[in-house]
Amino acid sequence: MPPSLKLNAVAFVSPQNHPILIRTFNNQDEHAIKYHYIAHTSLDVIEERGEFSIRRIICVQLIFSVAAAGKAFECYLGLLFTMEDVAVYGYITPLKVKIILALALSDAVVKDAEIITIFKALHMAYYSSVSNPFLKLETVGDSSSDQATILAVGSPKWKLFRRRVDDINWAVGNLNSLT
Amino acid sequence: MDTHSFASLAHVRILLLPVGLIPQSLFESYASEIRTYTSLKLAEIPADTRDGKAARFLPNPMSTGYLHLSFPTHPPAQSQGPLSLLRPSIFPLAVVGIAACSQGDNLRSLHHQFNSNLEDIFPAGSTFPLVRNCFAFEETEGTVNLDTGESLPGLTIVPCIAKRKLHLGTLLGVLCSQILVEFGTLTQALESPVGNEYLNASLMPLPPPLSELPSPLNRGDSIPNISSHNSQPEVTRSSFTLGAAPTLKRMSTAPSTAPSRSNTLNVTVPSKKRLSTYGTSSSHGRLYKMLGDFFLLSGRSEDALICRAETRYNEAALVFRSANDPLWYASTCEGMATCSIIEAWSAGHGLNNSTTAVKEPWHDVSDRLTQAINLYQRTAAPESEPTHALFVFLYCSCVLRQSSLLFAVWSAKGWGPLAFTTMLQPGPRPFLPPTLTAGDRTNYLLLERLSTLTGISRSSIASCLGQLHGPWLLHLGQRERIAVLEVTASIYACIGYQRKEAYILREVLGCLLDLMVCGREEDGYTQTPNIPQSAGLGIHNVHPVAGVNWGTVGVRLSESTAGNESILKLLAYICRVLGIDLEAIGLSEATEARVVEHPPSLNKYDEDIVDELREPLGWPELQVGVVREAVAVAEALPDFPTVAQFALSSLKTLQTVLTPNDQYHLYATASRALLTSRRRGDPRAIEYWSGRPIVSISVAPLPTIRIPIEKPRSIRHKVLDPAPILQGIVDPFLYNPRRASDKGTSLVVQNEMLEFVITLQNPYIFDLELQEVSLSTSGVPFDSQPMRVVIPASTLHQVVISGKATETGVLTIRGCFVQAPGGIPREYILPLYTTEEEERLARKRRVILSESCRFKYPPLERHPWTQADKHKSIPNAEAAIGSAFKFLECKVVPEQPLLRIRRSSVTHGALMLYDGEKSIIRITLENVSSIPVDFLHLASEDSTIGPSQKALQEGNLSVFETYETEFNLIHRPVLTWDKDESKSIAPNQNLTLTLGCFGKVGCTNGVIHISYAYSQDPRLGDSGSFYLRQVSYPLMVTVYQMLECSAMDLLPFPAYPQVRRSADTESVNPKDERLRHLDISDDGWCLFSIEVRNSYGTPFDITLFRTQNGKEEASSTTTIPPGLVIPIRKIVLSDEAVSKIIPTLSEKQFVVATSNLTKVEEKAQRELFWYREELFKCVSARWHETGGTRSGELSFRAQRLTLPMLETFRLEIAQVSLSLEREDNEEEEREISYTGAKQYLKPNEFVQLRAKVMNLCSFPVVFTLDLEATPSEHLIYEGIFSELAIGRLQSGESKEISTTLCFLACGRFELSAKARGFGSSETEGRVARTHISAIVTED
Repeated sequence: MPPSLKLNAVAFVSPQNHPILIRTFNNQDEHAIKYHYIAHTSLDVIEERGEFSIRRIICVQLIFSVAAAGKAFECYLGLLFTMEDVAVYGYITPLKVKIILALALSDAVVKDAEIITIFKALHMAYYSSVSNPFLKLETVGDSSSDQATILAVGSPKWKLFRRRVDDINWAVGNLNSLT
Repeated sequence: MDTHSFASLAHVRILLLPVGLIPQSLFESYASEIRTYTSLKLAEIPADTRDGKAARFLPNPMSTGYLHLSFPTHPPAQSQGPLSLLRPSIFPLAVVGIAACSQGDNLRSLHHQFNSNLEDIFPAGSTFPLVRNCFAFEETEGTVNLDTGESLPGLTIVPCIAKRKLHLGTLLGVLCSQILVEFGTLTQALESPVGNEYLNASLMPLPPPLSELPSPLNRGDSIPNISSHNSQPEVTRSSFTLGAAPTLKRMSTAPSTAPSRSNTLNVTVPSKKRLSTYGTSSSHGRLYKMLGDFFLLSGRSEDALICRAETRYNEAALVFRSANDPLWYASTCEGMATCSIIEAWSAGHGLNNSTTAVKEPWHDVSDRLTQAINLYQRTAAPESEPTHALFVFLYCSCVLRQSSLLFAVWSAKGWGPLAFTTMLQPGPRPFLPPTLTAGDRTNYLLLERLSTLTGISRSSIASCLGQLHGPWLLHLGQRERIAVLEVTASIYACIGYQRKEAYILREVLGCLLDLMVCGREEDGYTQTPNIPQSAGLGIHNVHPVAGVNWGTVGVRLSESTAGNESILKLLAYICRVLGIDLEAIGLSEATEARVVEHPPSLNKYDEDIVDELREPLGWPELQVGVVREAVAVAEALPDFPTVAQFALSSLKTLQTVLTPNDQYHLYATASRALLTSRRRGDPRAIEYWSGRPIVSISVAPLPTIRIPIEKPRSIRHKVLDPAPILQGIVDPFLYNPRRASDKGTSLVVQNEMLEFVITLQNPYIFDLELQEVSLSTSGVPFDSQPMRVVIPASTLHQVVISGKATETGVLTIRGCFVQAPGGIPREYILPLYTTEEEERLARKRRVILSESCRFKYPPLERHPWTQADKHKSIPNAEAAIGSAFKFLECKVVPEQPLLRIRRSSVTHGALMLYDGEKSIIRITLENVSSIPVDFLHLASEDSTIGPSQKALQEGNLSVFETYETEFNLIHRPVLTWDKDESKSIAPNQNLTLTLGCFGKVGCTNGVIHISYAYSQDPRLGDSGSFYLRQVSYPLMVTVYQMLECSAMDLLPFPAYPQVRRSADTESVNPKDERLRHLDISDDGWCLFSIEVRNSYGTPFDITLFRTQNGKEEASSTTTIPPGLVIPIRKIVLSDEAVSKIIPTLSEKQFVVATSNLTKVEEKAQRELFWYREELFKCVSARWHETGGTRSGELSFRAQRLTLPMLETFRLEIAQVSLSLEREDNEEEEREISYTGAKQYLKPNEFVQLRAKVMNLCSFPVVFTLDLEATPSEHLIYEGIFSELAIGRLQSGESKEISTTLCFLACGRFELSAKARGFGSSETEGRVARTHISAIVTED
């Protein structure tokens, strides 16, 4: 049985909407630019659902007013859109790093819980990679270094982040084939 | 273009066609008049029931419905022909020709033209248009010759009357009624069995040809139909041949496997069986659907049940549900959806009653459309490509219909009249409800509010639209594809999905370019395959194949630029969404004018700082691709200035992300394009683009002889002050050119060449060419030539621009004008970095930095061009600073004289001196200018000055050394000048100056600075200053130390006059000559001796001079090596003189005594100092080169005066004299035996020893006297010999004491006396001595 979930690409986008890392798993370089476009256009929907939606703004205010409210606001943005042969899912971290997942479109039912698990794994991968203190070595000691640090994670120089993302992809593929 | 309005199914299309030579503007105005009729009341349509039969679709006179009209601008594509029965509404049901008829026009020819035009547009056998008519508009009232009586069918004259519009309405009504009649005819034809067979013949049937119809389908001829008013199908058979329905064979869902990128619509394999079943075996589903369509078009939604479109549709749907005809079923569903909207519109029109709250009514419609979309997806794919395209077209328009439904409801704030109006809106332009205005598109709150109001989220609209996009779009014809994509893009834009919009727009652009390229290939010039033909003149060899004949003939196509601008706008818009400002560099009329802003604009100046700090924007990977595309598109158009503009703008904004290759490519493209555009005489040119090219501007230092220095006039009479020479902190020179240039403004001279060094930068990886670099100056006119510069890649580059200021005054250098090749010159100002300026820049940086990392703005509003609006207030506040810029300034002074050194007496500039030698050098100055010199001043420096000053400054020298150093500096300069020498030089005249030199050991070089001026220049007026220039003459100095003095000594020198006198009788011996000086008869002398060593190769004569008050001058000469002696008179200095502190020539104030000597020590030191000074005043030495001409002075100043020497040199406190006298023979005896200091005496005789003490001090002193006689054992004396009290003697007073003694043996006795002062500190330890010898003989 073929895996029900097949990741086509993963994109990490910084709070300022710069691409941090776009990883495609198709081994086809000519498709890379396609996923760039997919990630870019999905920002439209993310903006609507996440960053600038009224619901979210109110939600954030609530959280700040009622400290540590029981239920965290939703990071998972659900299916953003489908396009041709991919279904695009979105996730936004509390610090507004966006993770965009392009799944191969298939007839099988995709459970949100599975996608959320993948997103959480990706989030952790990002989080642990960006915690690398050595990232700051590269950037100039400005106030603007925050973004530069984030962007540096995805640069070809730091391989660990890529490896983690690849591991997740591998895990997703294999897990599905096992079940 | 097609607008894909929601209700297009209900629109009666009327194509407006210009006929004859009607000007475009006139056509537009007539057309717009007609277009105002978007709907006609059914009641207004004349129910022309001439024969009473054809009224099947004609409304009842009392019906309340509306006929919706739309006026497309283009005829449908011919490839859409197969749709004519499935979707009649996409065809123009009528064609209206619009002609202008004036006096002379022949209506017949107009009519003929109209008909021939129609034949061009519509293929011969096509069903549509059903009605054709030509409106001939009268241009002025009453001009038409009334030959309408000719009654040309289908030609109507529209008179020029006041109520023409009303009249037009009537005409349209008539036209529509004709259409409706034609509907009836068509239906009739289809209702016949043959017609029905045709209808069911294929998936997309064609209307039956006339010949096959049972009754000819003649216009206006209405054949009575069997069931004209009974639209029930006469045959309702269950014997469908749908067994022949295709088995649904699903294609592979993987899109990439299909080699031809065939659709993924999950289409089924076509069934081909239809054609064979010719006969009455067809269902009437399609017929019902057709009827429904026609009823919908004729606005019969309100009528009785039997005539309602919906009823027909329902019937059709019933049939289709069981039969397998998804395409028609889907189309039926669409029709039903449209029906309900039309109904709702007519119901709500004007009523505006609130909707039911249970379920939003649009859900039903939407569900219908969803069903239709699904059905389309399931439809069997036909084999032929054209049909496939039609399929995709139907599918896309269905998707668009659903999207526009959602969009209309969403944008109209819900289900209501506004939404209906939006959906029904026909017309060539998409209708945007007033809730969305262009400016609010990015207002997220507004968009969100619409979503919450309507319950339709934007993403649901987007996902609905998203179904549209797929590889199947490629099957669409170009025109349809563009139309579909265009509508998609605009909906995306309206719901605020700008990135999606940009993505779609790129595809639109791709289609447009495809069309362009195809268009070019079709025009017969396909021989140049390398589109873009950017570089050439656009000249193509017409037929290169036949090029033998045409070899030299080039034909330049006149290119149509229509539409280019829109394509470029589209490009720029896409790039903006992706964060690239393709118009960062403006494009304007080429001009050579240099615009100078007063005051300089702050914004422009800060632009670069802002650029530099701007955070990276957007998505680099996408940006690079898009930019490449944009340039290629602009090249393909071709629009050369825009190519350059795009290429350079992207270079500027994306420099950090572009690869070197890309950068190089863009630059090359841009320069090529600029060249071409210039050659073609394009009036546009690009602004300067490459960021701030100038880094700095400075005045190149003038050659030192040309630097003018401003000095106050008082300086001309100033006496030389030693202080600056000693202190050294202050410049040792009166006029220092370097110090003068330190100030902000530098002095330059009128009409003399002036050079500016400009540092330019090139941050790019290619060589940057600047066509022109010139200075931007204000103030005094400045003559200079602009330069052409090529700055090497990624470097700083310096260029020198020279020029002349032609008037006196202040010359301000504001900055530079730079001009790239083919560009417009631009001024870059370069203010000085004053503290305020630096602070302002720092503040600006902070502001930008603090903004840069925030994500409070929606991402697409982070672009600099959107932020600029927000910060408008800040620059206003800062604008005042703009005028406060300080610029580099030069003061231009009147023309100055210029001197040069014509010659000098120093060979090769090298001067050889002996230590202490004095010589002169001569320098001849020449005035090479036409201006006289009337002021001349010389100053000099040499290499001994620096170290001395340094030593003095460090302050580690003792007082004594300090004095010596200072003395050396002030009184013994290496170079001296007689200030009284002539000081004026007329133009072109010479002047010789004489300078004295003094050889000083350690001097290696020196410089003579000659300052001169034309101080009486009338142009200077009354100003308190004048300008100096300086010419310097450097000297190499070599000083040999050939004589070394050492062992200076002062010896007591008692007088031996008798001895000397006997010896020096008539002697010519030089040694004796020298000794002659020693012939001193009286007391109070001492002997100065010094050893001089000649360490040089040649002999020197040295003469020692003595100049002492009251004494004759004496000298002693020798040719060294031997030492020299000269007696000098002992002196005594007064207490006051001795107790003076050692002076410092620099007049420094010793606030704290630097020494911690005791008082006694200090006193001794001062005594030593003053006596030494006194000694050197009276003793001097000169040397003379033996047999040569050189002479000089020998300095003793290195010698030390020791305490014993001081004792010798100083006069005693008292004069003591001893004498011996016999007691018996008194006066005479004494005289005889006295020769010199020796006394001849006899033994055993008593002699009186007299000692006389005279006080030489200026004050009374108590003296004691000690006498001594040796050998004392052969002598007896009376009383005591020591501590004899003399008593207090006044100054000059003397006292004599005597004692008696007797020599007991023969021989020589030495008698000496010592007088001591007693009691006071000054005299303590100072002893006056004398001695005599007594020779005792028997005889």
